[in-house]
Amino acid sequence: MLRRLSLFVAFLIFIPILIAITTIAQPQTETTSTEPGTIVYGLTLDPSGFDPHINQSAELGIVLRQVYDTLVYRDPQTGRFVPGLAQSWSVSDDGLTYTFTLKQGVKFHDDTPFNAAAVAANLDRITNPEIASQKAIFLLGPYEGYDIIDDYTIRIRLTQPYSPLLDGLSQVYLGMASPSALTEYSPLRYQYHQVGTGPFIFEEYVPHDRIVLRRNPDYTWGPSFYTPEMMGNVERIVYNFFTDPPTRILSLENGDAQVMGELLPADARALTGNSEIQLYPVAIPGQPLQFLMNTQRFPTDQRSIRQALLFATNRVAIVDTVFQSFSPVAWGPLTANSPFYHSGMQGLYAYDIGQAESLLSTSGFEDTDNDGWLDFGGAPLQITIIVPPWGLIPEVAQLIQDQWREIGIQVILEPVPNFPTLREKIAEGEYNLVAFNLFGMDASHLNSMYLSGGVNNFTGFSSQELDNMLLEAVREVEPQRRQVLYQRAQEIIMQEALILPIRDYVNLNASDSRIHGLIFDPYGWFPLMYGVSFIDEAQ
Amino acid sequence: MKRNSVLRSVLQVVTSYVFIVWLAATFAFFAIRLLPGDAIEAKLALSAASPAAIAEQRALLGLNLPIAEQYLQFWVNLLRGDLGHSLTSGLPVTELIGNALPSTLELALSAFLVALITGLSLGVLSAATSAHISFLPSLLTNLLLSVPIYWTGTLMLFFFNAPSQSALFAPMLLLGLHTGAPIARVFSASLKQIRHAPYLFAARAKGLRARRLLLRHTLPLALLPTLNVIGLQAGFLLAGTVITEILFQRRGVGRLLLAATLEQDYPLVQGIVLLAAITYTLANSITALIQRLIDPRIETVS
Amino acid sequence: MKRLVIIILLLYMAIPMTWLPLKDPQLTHAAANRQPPNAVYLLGTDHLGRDVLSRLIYGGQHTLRIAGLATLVATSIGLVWGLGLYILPKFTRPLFYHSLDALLAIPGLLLALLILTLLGQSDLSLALAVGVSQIAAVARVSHGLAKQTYHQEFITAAKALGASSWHITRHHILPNILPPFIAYAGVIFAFSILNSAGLSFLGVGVVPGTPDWGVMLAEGRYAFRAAPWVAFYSGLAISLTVWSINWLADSWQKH
Repeated sequence: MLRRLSLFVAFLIFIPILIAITTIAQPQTETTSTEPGTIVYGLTLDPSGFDPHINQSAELGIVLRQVYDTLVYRDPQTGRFVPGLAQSWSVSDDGLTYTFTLKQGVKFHDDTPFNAAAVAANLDRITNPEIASQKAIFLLGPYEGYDIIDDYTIRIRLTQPYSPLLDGLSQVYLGMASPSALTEYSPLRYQYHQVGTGPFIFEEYVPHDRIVLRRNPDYTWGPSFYTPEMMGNVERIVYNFFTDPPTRILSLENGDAQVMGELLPADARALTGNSEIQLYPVAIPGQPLQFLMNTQRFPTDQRSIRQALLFATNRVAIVDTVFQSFSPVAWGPLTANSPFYHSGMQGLYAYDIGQAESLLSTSGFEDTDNDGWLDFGGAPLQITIIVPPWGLIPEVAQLIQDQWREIGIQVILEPVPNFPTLREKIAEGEYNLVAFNLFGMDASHLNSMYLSGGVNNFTGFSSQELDNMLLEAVREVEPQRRQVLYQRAQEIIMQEALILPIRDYVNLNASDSRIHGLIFDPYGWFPLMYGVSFIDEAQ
Repeated sequence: MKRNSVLRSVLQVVTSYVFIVWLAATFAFFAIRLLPGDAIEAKLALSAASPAAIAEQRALLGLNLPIAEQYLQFWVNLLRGDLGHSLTSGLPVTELIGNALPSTLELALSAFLVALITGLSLGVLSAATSAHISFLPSLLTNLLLSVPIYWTGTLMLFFFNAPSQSALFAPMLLLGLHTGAPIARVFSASLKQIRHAPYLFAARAKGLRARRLLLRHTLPLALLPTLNVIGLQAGFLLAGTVITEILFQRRGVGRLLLAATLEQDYPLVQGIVLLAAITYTLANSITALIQRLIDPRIETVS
Repeated sequence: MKRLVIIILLLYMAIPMTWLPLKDPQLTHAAANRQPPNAVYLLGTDHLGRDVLSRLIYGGQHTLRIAGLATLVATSIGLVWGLGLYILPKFTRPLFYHSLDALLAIPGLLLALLILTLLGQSDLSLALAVGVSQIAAVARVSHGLAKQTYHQEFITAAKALGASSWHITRHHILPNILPPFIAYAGVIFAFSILNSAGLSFLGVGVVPGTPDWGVMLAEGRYAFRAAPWVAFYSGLAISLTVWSINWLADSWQKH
């Protein structure tokens, strides 16, 4: 008995010793915020590619916006185009050529000088079919080629007028990379050795672990809104991946990260009154969180059914419950803060069970077998929704499932674990609704989704009228006339009930309140870290 | 003569383990190719690449070859030490695994130590005859066996909100305790069983002191079946770190395996399976060796 | 007592719960989300305003059915494989024995993910995934049990009398190893509950929204600060069930 007891005591002593040893033996960490000038920025997805010319995630832009300059920038305040690496530009009258005069004295982080040849090298790379660009190449529109006029003048030629070109050139996906680095590394390798001209230098990228940036001391050629006085004191940024949503807030609180994107709405709501954490809700222009309705598959091939589904959805309740009212309810294909937004969409197909039911019954759907589900000629009214795991879409889909159940529509949720699987499921075509949306300032992002045969046309809808309108809108230079065209396009999309919009996207960023000077560019996803400081007033 | 037989048995063991690793790798190779599509298709579907361009890319990586040929190629490359390149990131598989391995090893080894210590001590204590002593340890063992690991982990995160990112302590404790519970369970069960063995009555009757009885007669025998569990647990640790790694935002092989499987990154999956199979067989051969040292009657391989 | 627990478990798995005066487990009530336990919602509501009590009761049935099916898959195939080693011609035995080890050497997560991707996320494929990833372990254990029996005198005697290996396995080994094997099946059942919950945590398990303990726990984590009771009750339900199954297995073994 005594011996057993002594064993127990030994055990009690041994465990703390073991704990102490392992805690002491543990190597000094490299990502602590105590290191002066270093902050940790929390990314929320862990995409498999980080090359701005090749890949398409918003995550890559959050990091790389600091590494690359673009020919033009959008002013964070006004959203207007301001000089970036190009000090000026002109557009020919026919809208087919854009001539850029480049800044002089700009150097890449590897000391390669920036000039017209460097721009040319970037254009060549992006349009090279071998790199299989997922986004950058589309931003160039009907690109034909370029002419180098002199060392600091380059002209971009288009086959057709394309008014969103400047918009494209202002995005990080068309960031200017060092031509020497591009030749030194293979297309797949380059993402680990990126070299730009931006305010931060790319130090390392360890897949699934971290990306590290260091401030560029030579950076003097920034856009006008980067003034030397506003330069922050953050010298190094470590980007880590915080893929588990509920623990993001914990990581902010315990100092694992100083800035974090995409908090859970309930956690963000609970932050009000917390003086140690600052919340930055940023509305993202572009398409809202929406479900695309497949017009090629029963029963969403009927317009009246699609309309009934819209009427049957209580979007206000969804936004209140899931998004804690942080987001505006979305009514059309563009979010309310997007250029070309049509305010006439407001309140369209507002929740109206009566309308939904009468549309369903005039389309011949009835509960003939009394099982609680509507059917038509023996076919039950079954809606399959593909549900990706991000953006609280599973929660939204569950609420929809329950709301529609009330009027006898059966919803089958088909979860997919990641983006590649989502694309695969879409390609199989066996869905009625799928959650998918694109972001952007220029409404030209509508084209890939609503043009007949567009790469992202998951509704399967095709109409000559809409095609003409969308195509004309990107050819048209005059903003007023573009506005008219896009208004009409939005009307058609909603008349045809091609989508079920849910909410305008709002990214709930938060930071340690000792972080100052954090601003976001007009595209919403991308912070501008140039002016960010970490100021500990207690010290 | 004697040395010869030892050599032969060692050789036998080695060949059987090589065979096991080969079989595991082969199985994984074919199983993952049952899935429709691959990472290249998924990646290029996003680009403007024509079907011809996709086919070309796949051809470049040898994905268009007949499966038998791909299989052959896999082994030819493997013998050269080349595990191929990840389809999504383009990096050599050896480099990707090499990057993730130290962090996983750190976690797995320290957790294994925790598991061993807590498992054995909890086992001994819960086998105690006095309920005063055995109550808490057996309660703890049963608790650890019954609670999902990610639930314990979440509670740890929410209630002891220490910086988790870089610290080893919390994930080590979490994984270690949950890995140790089955060890404790088997150990205490065998201890209890042996306690009633006739030869112990005999020993006690002979007047052997309790400590000597415990140390010389009971423990080694109870350790034999326990070693099996320890070996199994050690073998599983490498790939069993996924949930812990996700909870504590740690880099590691487990997360890599999850991502690679979901993205259908064949070469990376194959590389990790190979690594896991080698660890598993290694852990088991070491266990077998130790068992043999304790009880020479145990044959290596029949 | 043990019998009672077993009977309750089996009845719970088998009988539909619709006769109980419970709220609909899928019914969302947006205005009443995240309500702490009260007179209307005895165990509170979750983040979408669904009744936790009702989800817990329906959910357990779902979880246990999946785990039960998984156990059936794992134990039936595993037992045949483990015992088959004694029926097969002698020269094929090492191959089968090593293939068992090879299957054990492949991470179970990979096997489960492969099955789930191949068959799509559904209850049936989840049960298969959880079951298949445990076959090798079952086979190994049943083989181990058989081995102990195989070296006992009465088997040697039977062999000497010229009994076929099929006869020996069927009439001598199987009845002998069945009691400990049933205890082990209980352990597999408990593991299946934990593993299917783990897959739900990774987002590849049960379809989101289904009343299921694993899903409830995974979803409850998301609302842990605002509504800790969802995760608490579902975590408790899983742990208590796994505990009592382990206890049953234990006492069966001692029997």
